[in-house]
Amino acid sequence: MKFEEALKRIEEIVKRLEEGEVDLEESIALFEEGMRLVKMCERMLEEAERKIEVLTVEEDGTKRLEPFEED
Amino acid sequence: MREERDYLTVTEFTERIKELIEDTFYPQVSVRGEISSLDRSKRGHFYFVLKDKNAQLKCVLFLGKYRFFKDVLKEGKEVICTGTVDLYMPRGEYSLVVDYVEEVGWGALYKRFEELKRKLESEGLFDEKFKKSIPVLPKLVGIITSPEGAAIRDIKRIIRDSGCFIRIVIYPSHVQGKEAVREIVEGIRFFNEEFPVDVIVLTRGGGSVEDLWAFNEEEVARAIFASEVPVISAVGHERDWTIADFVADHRCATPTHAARFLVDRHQGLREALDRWRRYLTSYMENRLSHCVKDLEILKRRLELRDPKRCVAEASIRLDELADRMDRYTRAVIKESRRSLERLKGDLLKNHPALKVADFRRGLLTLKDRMLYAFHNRLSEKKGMLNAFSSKLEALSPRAVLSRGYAICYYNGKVLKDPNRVDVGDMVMVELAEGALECRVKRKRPLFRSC
Repeated sequence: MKFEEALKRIEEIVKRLEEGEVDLEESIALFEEGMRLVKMCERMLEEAERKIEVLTVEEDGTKRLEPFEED
Repeated sequence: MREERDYLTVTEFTERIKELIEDTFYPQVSVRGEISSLDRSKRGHFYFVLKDKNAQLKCVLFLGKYRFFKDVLKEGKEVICTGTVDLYMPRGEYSLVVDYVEEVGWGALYKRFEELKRKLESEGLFDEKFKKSIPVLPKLVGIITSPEGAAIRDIKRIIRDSGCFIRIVIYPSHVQGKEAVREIVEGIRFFNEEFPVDVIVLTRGGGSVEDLWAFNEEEVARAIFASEVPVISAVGHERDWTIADFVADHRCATPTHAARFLVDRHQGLREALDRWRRYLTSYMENRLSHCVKDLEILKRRLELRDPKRCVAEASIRLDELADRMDRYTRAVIKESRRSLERLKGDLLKNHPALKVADFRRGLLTLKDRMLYAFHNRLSEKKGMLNAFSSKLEALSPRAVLSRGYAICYYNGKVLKDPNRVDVGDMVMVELAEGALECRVKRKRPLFRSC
């Protein structure tokens, strides 16, 4: 599931719950799904490596990414 | 004295120079320099000097033209003045009679900028409908900029300080000069085809209009428009608007703004997730606690309807009722008995035998009383008789008679009133020692003297 889709689904769930017309069983299912999605989104938020790279091109034209360190 | 004139008069010389200058710069010439010594004559014309590092040029702008250039004509401003060169012979001075003043860079480029902007706008390159939305979570960001520039330094700092998990790949590019356009275009292609990213940031720090010019080039504009990956432009300072800004899917005013934009997205998402997590948790807690409360209430209500409890309650009630009934009945019986006793008493009190006895008693009493009264009376009478007898004794006429009194009888009765007898009637007068038969001769009033 994509991040955007997960967010959308969470919003949907919250909306359903806010409307207050779900029975307890369904609300528990929604709650569990919502919490699962929140966790998943948080994982996705922190999944990426926090790094800055710069593209370098060798003499022969091969391209590489190198850590970018300014002087 | 020379035979042939191998000299020129000042006028001739000056005329030659004038011709030369005017020919050379015919019909007009544009000169770039910095305005200084700006001065206004009494007649309203403007005199100033255009200068650069090594030279100066006198210029004049006539009053009639001033209004077009009053924004540009400022001390210290670098301008390009276009006009004709005029040599004022009386003073042997040449100057530029200015027809047109433009600000350096912008002025010249402005026209091109406007033209391109109009053209691209009419082609729809700036249309909102073509703007791609920036991904909600841009994790892999391609930045096209100079690795040495101020822009990347600011971006790096902000992203590092934020602690957000964003991966940045820099496509090193010139951001000004001849290679800039080609490299920028290549960078956009690279981040689309070779190394796809979530979003491209096209950025550089502030600079002069010429410095930023690459971002006003048509090729760059078209590359941005063609990019499948959303492009954020962040060029120069806030006041700088480039064609790239118009075409880009999102414009940030400065590199710093671009970095903040990305960081804010991440932090905004983090906050939103936190909020939702809190909402969901509190919702569930709330809901469950309500359920528990409802259950509690139902349980209590159910307990109230427990048959055992009902039976127990009913039997207690029954007991109580029976008790009350018993007490009541007893009370009634007791009361009835009491009434009965009372009635019986009353009845007994009125028993005929009693009455008889009463009567008898009354009778007896009456008899006694009668006898008693009788006796009393008798003895009383006896006493009285005795008293009377003695009194009588005392009052006996005989006794009185002995004292000389006489009693007169008429028809056997004592006569006290003379009216009871008539004259001629016979009366008996009793005296102490005999009686007299007397005839009434006459009636006389009582004479007290005797």
